[in-house]
Amino acid sequence: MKRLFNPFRYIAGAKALILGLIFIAAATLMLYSGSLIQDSYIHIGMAQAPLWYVGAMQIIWWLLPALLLYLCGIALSKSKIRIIDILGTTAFAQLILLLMIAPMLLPAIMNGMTDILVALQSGVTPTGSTIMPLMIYSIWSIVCLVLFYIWNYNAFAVSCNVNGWKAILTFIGVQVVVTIAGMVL
Amino acid sequence: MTTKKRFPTICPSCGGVLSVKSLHCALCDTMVQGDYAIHPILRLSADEQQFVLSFIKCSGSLKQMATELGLSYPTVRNILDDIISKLQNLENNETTL
Repeated sequence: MKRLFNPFRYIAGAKALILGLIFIAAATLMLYSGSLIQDSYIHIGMAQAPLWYVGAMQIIWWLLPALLLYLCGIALSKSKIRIIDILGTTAFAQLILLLMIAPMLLPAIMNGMTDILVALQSGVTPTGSTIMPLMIYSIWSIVCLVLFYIWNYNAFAVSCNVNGWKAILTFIGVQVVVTIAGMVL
Repeated sequence: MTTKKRFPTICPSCGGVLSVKSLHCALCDTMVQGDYAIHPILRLSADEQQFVLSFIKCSGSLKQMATELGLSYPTVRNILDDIISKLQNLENNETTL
């Protein structure tokens, strides 16, 4: 259970960074193949974009919070922190996004999303068979989202050796800044 | 059956810091009496003492320790930093007493 919620007790640094970059590359390919894009910190939208652009967005929404957390870590931590740890752990946390994206490529989810968009545009009520897979996927994505925040918090706490309210409030602050950045950019 | 006794450092009665009053040689049965302060390292928990021991055996290499303990580098560094901070507090408390 400890490993599920805090894998960074056991993995960090270069090893985590290499695996994290593989997860980011896999997520980029998945998003591209499904004509999807991560257009803000935790939002996936539908868009026909070139592969490099999909990848660049993935990198930006991983690097931006990671660097902000690193700067906060420098300011708050009494330990000698390493940038490779925060980059590695936050990159490894992208595995959760990968798990969130993967079911989006299933025909039931893909068709469901298209049907909902069409239904919303034409004012027709979507059918139960369309909604059911999307409902299941919504629950899955909420679970993934919670785990994504837990992993990212633990990435910050372990890499920068900060804990308690100081760490929680700083982490929330960074999430708010990144979310706002996602709306503005 | 032998049970592994833990070295007591805190008084079970009042919670104060214990000191050594007597020492005994198991070989010749000699008894030494006095008032010896317990070194701060001995006042760490058993796990923390084990960590310090491993740290010395690894020549202070956190990377080697991380490999041996199966933990990540920052986790090992955090444990060490917590022990350093605890030792500093123990030493500060000693000087203020």
